[in-house]
Amino acid sequence: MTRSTLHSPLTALKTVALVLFAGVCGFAQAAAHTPVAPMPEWEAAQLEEALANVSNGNAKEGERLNHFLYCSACHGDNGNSQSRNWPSLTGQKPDYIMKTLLDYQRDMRRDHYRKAYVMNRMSQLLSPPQMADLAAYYAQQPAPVVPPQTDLKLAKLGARLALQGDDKRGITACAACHGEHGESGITPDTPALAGQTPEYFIQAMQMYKAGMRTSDIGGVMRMFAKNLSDRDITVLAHYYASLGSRTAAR
Amino acid sequence: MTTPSQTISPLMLLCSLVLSLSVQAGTTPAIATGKMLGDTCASCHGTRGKSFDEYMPSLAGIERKQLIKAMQDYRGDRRASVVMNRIAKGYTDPEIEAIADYFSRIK
Amino acid sequence: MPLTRRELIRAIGAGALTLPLSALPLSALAKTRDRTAHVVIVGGGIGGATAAKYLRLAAPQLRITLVEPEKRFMTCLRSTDVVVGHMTLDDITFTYDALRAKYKINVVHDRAIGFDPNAKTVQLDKAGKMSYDRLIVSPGIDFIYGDVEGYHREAAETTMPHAWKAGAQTLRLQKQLQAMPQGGTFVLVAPPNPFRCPPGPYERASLVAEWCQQHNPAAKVIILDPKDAFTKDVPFKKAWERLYGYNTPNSMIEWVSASKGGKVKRVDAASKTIHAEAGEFKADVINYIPPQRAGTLAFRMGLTNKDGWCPVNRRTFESEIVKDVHVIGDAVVGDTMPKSGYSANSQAKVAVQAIADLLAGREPGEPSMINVCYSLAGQNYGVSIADIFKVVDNRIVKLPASGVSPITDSPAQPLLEAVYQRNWHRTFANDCFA
Repeated sequence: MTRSTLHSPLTALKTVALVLFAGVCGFAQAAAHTPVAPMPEWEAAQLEEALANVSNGNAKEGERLNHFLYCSACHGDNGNSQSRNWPSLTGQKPDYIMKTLLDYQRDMRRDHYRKAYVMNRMSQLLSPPQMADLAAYYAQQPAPVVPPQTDLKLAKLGARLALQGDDKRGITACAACHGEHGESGITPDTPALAGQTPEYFIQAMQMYKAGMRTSDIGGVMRMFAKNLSDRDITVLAHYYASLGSRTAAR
Repeated sequence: MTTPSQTISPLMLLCSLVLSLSVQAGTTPAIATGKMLGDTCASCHGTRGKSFDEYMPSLAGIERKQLIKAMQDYRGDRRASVVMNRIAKGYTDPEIEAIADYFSRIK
Repeated sequence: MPLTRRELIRAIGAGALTLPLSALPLSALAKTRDRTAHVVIVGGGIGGATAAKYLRLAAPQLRITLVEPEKRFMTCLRSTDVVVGHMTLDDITFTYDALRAKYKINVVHDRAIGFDPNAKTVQLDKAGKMSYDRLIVSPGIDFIYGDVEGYHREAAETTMPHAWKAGAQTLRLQKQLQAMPQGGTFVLVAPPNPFRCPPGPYERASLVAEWCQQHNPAAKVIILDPKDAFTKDVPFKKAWERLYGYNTPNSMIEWVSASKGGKVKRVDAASKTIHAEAGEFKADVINYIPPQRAGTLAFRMGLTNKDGWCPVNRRTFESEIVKDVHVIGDAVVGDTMPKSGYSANSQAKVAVQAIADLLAGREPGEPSMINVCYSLAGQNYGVSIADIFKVVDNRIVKLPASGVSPITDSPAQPLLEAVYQRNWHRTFANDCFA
């Protein structure tokens, strides 16, 4: 695939999302105003430019950086998270990895409900080509293994919501964008969710819901998260965690 | 005496039995309980291993074998880390196992 | 829960029932009838607060009282960040609210003014006599004045602050630094061993140098040291080379060791002149960190040895001088263990486990202790030391193999150490106070 075919659906979705967001959810967004300090946001075109060279990433160099810059200390030797607090990176889409590193570098992210500090500082060490190298390395690895905190009972409850959504409550199926098996899909920077650490997933969704995470383009995730209850978020977290690989050694 | 959420494992009981016997006999080196050792971790990883912080992994509920492998990898300098490779060198295999028993039982 | 024979004997032996009624609040009396033991902790710093919390975790049934005059506690940890304006005093201030609410500790803001080890009572200034089954004292350190001509308490509180306990002096030193003339000289007088926070003087010199890079680029920081080595000196000096031109003619930091004449003989507060063995140093700001000893409380209670520190049984931290009294933290004779907040936290955990065991009639278990310390050589450059300790033949022994930060090519090592230092302060304070 070439960059141009990758980017056309991305642009399309962003346009749709922007229209949706402004038209449908603008009021809700204003009504549910949270006393959270605003963070900078991406312009769609600006992000596209920033990610233009992600496919040039060198996975071998990424593997070296994963150790040299101690990424592996938290995210694991091959990107399987070493703790329930943090995301697994293995098997993640390169565009999403690079975008996330840029999010941190640009100080757009919160972690654990406060301004991200660790990853903000760490991302300052990286040039854009190095970000692409890391992205290429993680993308090459298999999907994360099912995290130890995964609750299979909760996972079962999450399946329906993830795959079908809930029309009555205006909840769109997550699978529409994130893939039937949580493998990502609609755009290159849509993250894969299969095998993600449930507590990290919950935190991310809660921050979207509260408007504390603003790194989504055009507020798409903030919009989707708005209608989810705490319980919804929990069962979805365990559902996606349960889709991780069961075979790979940690 | 333990708090309700802390159960004493048969292994810990065995350890303390071995400990008290060896103290009396003054022979084999005694080892601390998993809780005593785990409390040394708590100063960074949070009380009972619950840090829930962006920089510090929570140890509560960690898989026993994952913690053992991580500590052994740190000790053998097989895994990148800032301080853990130095810290892990201060613990023996039985101590690491006792720590893993302790944290893996905390929800 | 049935009492063991030993607990019963101890409860009677403690003589709680024979105390005058006025000495005990009614609720305490009710609990005494239940024969629950009472542990009193004097000193609400890091050692005392950790002891209170962890004793509750170890022994839910105990009565626990924490005696501390101040309503809020400021950590010495990160107080140099306040001097250079990275943080405020509020950022390093903690309360006893969680100890009260969450751990049901009876926190009494009072001063211990008397002590009867035979009757096992402490006399409090306002609340009167309080009986204990076991007493934990966490007295911290105090300063030795008068060993150097021209340096005394009054100088410390005005012209030459030590700022070695967080509070008014921290802000005074901050003001003096800010008012230092361009191209001025900041002299830090380091104390002799042993002292609280062994890397502290060198962290302070580093952060002051970094502050000067931004605000007073021609200024100089001189460390006058009565020692020839200090903790983490290898990674610290590497950091100084990388950040402040150390070992070049333009270095912002100069370290005058003992063998180079760093020992101070006399100071003159009026002219801000320090006479060291190496000669005369004219300063614009003097941060004089004096020699130290156990906190005054430990002296009043008769817990100190001839060197001014508190000898303890290393397995239980019970005083070797007074029975049923445990001493923890910077005041104890810690052998290889440094006088740090981290050590105090670790010792508190060992002491309370021993107390819980002893009160339950069990043999105290095997102790294990740790000290991990991150210092800033710059805002984004940390160095650390990490050691595990065991007790062998009543000595605290540092295990080999661990130690100070390696010098690596990876920029992530010093950066992450700085990141950890900042975040660790928060999680550590939670382990002590919340």
